Amino acid sequence: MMKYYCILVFLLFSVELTWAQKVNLFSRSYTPSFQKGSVAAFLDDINQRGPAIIEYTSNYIDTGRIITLTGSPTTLGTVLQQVLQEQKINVVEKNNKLILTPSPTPLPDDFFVTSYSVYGIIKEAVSGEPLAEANIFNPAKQNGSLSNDHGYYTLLLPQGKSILYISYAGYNTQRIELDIKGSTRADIYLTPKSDIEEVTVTSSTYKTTEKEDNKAAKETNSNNIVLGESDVLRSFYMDPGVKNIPEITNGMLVRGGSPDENVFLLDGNTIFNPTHLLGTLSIVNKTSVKSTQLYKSNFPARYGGGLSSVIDVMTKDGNMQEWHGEANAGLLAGSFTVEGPVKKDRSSVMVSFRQSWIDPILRMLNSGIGVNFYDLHVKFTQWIGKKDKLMFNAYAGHDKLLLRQNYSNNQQQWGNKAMSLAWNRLLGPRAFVNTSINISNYDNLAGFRYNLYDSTGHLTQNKVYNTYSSIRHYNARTTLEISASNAVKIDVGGKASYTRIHPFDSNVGEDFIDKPGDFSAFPPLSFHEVVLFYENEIRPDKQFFFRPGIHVSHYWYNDYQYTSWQPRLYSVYKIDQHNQVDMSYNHMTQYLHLVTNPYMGINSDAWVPSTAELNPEESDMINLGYTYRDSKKLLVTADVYYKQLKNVTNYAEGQNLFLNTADWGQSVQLGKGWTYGLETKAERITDKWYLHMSYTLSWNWRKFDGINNGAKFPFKYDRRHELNVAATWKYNKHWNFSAFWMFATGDVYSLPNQVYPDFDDAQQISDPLAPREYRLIYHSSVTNRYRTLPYHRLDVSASYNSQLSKKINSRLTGGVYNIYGSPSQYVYDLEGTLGKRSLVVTTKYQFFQVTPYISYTVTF
Amino acid sequence: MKCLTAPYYLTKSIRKSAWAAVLIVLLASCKKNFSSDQFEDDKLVILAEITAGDSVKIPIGKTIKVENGSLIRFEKVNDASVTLTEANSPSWVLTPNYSPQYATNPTSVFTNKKHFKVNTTYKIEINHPTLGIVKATAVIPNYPKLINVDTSSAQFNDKDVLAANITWKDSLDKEEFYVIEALKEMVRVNHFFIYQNKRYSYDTQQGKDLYAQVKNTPGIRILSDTTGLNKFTRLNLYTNDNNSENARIDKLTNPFRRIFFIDQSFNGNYYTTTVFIDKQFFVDPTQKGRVRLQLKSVGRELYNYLKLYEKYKTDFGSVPTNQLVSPTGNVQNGLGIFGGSAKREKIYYFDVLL
Repeated sequence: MMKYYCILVFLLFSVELTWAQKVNLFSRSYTPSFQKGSVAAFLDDINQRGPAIIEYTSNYIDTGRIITLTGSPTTLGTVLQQVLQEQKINVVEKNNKLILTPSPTPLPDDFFVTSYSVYGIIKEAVSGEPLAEANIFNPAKQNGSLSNDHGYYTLLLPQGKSILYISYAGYNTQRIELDIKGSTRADIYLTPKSDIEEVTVTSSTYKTTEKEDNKAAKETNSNNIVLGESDVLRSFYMDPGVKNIPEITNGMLVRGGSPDENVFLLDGNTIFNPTHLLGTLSIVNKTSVKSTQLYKSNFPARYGGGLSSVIDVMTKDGNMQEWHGEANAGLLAGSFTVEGPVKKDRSSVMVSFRQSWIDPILRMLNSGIGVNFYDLHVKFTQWIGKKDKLMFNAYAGHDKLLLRQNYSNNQQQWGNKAMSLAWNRLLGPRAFVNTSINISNYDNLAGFRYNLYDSTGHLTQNKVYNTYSSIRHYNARTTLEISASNAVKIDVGGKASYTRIHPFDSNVGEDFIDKPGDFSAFPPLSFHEVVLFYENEIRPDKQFFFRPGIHVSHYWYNDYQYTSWQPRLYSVYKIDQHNQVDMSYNHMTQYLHLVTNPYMGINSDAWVPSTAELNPEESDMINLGYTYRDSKKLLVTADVYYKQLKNVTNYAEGQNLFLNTADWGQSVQLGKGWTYGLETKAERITDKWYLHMSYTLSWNWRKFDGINNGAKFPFKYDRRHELNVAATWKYNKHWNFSAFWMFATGDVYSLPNQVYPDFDDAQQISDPLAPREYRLIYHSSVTNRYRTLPYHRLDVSASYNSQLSKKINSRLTGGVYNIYGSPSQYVYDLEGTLGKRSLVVTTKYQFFQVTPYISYTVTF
Repeated sequence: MKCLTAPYYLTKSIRKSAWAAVLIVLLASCKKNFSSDQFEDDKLVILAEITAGDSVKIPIGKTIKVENGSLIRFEKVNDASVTLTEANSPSWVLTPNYSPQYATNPTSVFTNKKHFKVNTTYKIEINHPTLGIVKATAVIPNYPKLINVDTSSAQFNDKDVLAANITWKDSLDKEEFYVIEALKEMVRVNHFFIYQNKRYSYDTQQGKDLYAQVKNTPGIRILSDTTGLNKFTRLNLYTNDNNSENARIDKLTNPFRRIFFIDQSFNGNYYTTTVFIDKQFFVDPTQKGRVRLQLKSVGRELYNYLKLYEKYKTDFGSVPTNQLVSPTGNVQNGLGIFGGSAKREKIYYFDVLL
């Protein structure tokens, strides 16, 4: 079935190329030898002197009609436009011939009109930074285009004069007049508005039908500030279907998937754990970000490798005109970003650095928490000529976290290092290619201490489980964008990658291990993947948009090979100006399995590749959506989805630690899952107010043969209801106030509900080394049968913006995170010894309870 | 542009349907699938390793619900009716054994004077007035073909151990599961003397008096022998054999209760492994005993249960209870295990039995 779908997509590709060639034929040069004559005479003249042969019969053409040419047509198309006007014919191109066939309707007025491409880069005037998704609109033809992530745009315009409007949120709309005589490069510079809060929606904007709800908010509200640190990714947590689970690695769960099912791309390079503070804060420093997109319901074909979501973060190239920067000092960390030209208009550099400094305060408060992290991002951009651009990116980040609280005693260190070199080239008026080579590395070292006391409180056991794993990923990828016409765009490309996992090891001892060198080395696990993808964006008219695509990947690990055909389809139907519906279907495949030791509060992730026994994870998802927009800036969306997951992982029963690399496959078992739900969102943005409310209703199931007697059970993060409410009020040009409140149903968990006598005890065997009171066996009859208390949190903040001088602005932000000190994670444990009463112990985890913060940001 | 506007009734109808769908989904979501106060009955638990050559002893207990405030105290189930059926033989009714040796056992031990046989299938059915009926089936495999055991004193991870090289021969045509364990059996030392071809106990006052009278008779001297008390002490084992399944349970430097092997890598061949027995409890003047080093061939169900039990005991105290993996057995409508084994053993005496 999937192969047939691919054939269909490739047929579409062939049709589009044929159509594109037709345009070329009409644009060929031809001037008739006379200005007035019969249709037959003109056609004969073309056949004798023209650039193409025209075949026809006079049965269905009024060949005797006298035509007088107006203007001075100089191409075959413009001549035929007048000669064959109102004739009920169709034109078929074959082997350099034009065949005229009968048709019930006349040809469209502009059928023969020659069109040329206007293309170029849309940039910000002040910095020269390319603008992604800027809007280009041609009001005469009511068509338009959007710039891509690198600011590149292309639009076909008819020969002659045209007017274009170029707009971008927060920038002055620019009107340009062009006299089109051939394909023309026009780089466009937009200037920021003096008051960026003002958003003007005019009829000069090209209205796309695609959903735009997957972009991160650019504004700074209380919902995307963590203790004074702006985090653009936090605005995604406001979206329905996206859950934030702090205190686990990469604490984002999308539509029922586990954290490893999210692909995070930083300038196209995979980052395996894009978080600081165990998922509390993303590694992306806001000031370095150009655009951020989250895909969870419709996946473009160029993406793959994760079942649940793709987060694509593009960073700025850096200012090519003058030096600028931003410095921020908050409770948690200090950061700065500096960007400027190395050579004006040719090359630029951007450096962004952040370092936490809250650790001394936490030590002073005896909080039992130790936090230390940094991230450094450097980007160098160089234009070579007018068509080529090189971008070098380097990222390094590291976390060290200590938890010494009542029931937890953990130590964790993890870090990413990534590097990429990307090359953009404008291949011509209608094609753009982006090629990159990337390296990404992730290390994770975690230790977990668990003490056992007897009934007198005497410590009888002290064990520290230390684990270490690392993964390195190399890839080269290229994407070619072709605009066949204003209505049809093609994305085609490929990727080759090599991944090397340095396997997990565990070391059980009496103390934490800090150095990776202290762990035993095991043979690495390496695999390869080759990907080809193809995708169309088709807009047959103003109501329809559809995007069929195919992502084919071939994987091999040792002798195991697997080919995955992943069809993708996204379509939108605009009912009227306010209402539209959309539908998408995605098949996704993931070759990396993340297996996590099932201990609470520890980031002990280990990645393993797919094998013949441990097949790749796959998902099929169908999504139906509805969008309502009104003229009062109200946006309402609703989506229903159903997603099936195959070969999701869990530790095999009784195998919750990796101890033997040769047999690691036996420690992991595969199961299936399914999740479905309803996601709704309402948003209103006015000059004074930003109001947002989202609600998610979802179910999330798993089924493994070896767990829960093979019966289905709810996934750990099966949160039935989730509600996010946010509001920002702009009091005046200096002050604004924000509040954010979230509520979520609790997670499910297992706890023993029965206890029975110890086996050895029943055989009359005593163990002098084991405390007698613990000689019992706990039994849990149903997996994940209990649910924790609901989660909810309120954050508030206020900001004061001021202009210190002509070029220096400042923002002072104060707020309270988690104003009523709600826990972010509940852990339940059972305490029980023979002869005493059992007790369910609830531990409330919270890195930051009621935490006031203040931060000061200066931009210059 | 007329095609841009959908008829009003269509838009309205879509809105109505959408809200109706939302309402239905919301109502459906209110149904509670899980709750913490879900009622569940207590269950009967069988904890029996039936061993060829041993007399019938079946420990049977019951579960206790654990929740906030429940008292953890195991109760006996002496009111159960227990029937054991040997393949192709009549059923035997087992009765609870009230002997003092089982007084501290957390289960009721149901016994019978019959003995288990190798290569035989046994079925058990327990009927309890409130806990219902549970059933289980076990097969006792053939005896393992123990070839040789060599022992020597050694050190393992700075511990004094008895190193035992155990060699056995696997059967080619059967899938076999092996378990090695070491126990110290508590014994009573009996002192006696033979007088006029009759045995008299020296441990009673009456015997001591008689001995005082006849001790000068030629040939009379105090002798001793031992009687097993059916009480055992677990002796920890170590292995460095990566073929053992213990390598997937815990670090091999840690102690184990049992060592596990499947015959995949040595099917039909001789296999030798070394186990190191912790000597810590070999000698105990207050409670004398003998060390039993056992090579067992066990049924699949018992093997799996014991392996999970080993994992459970290893993890206990190292992970929270909500992460413990409970062993699962073969008891229908109940918990625990009813599994068969056949063993060969070597017995060593380290206590001075005087």
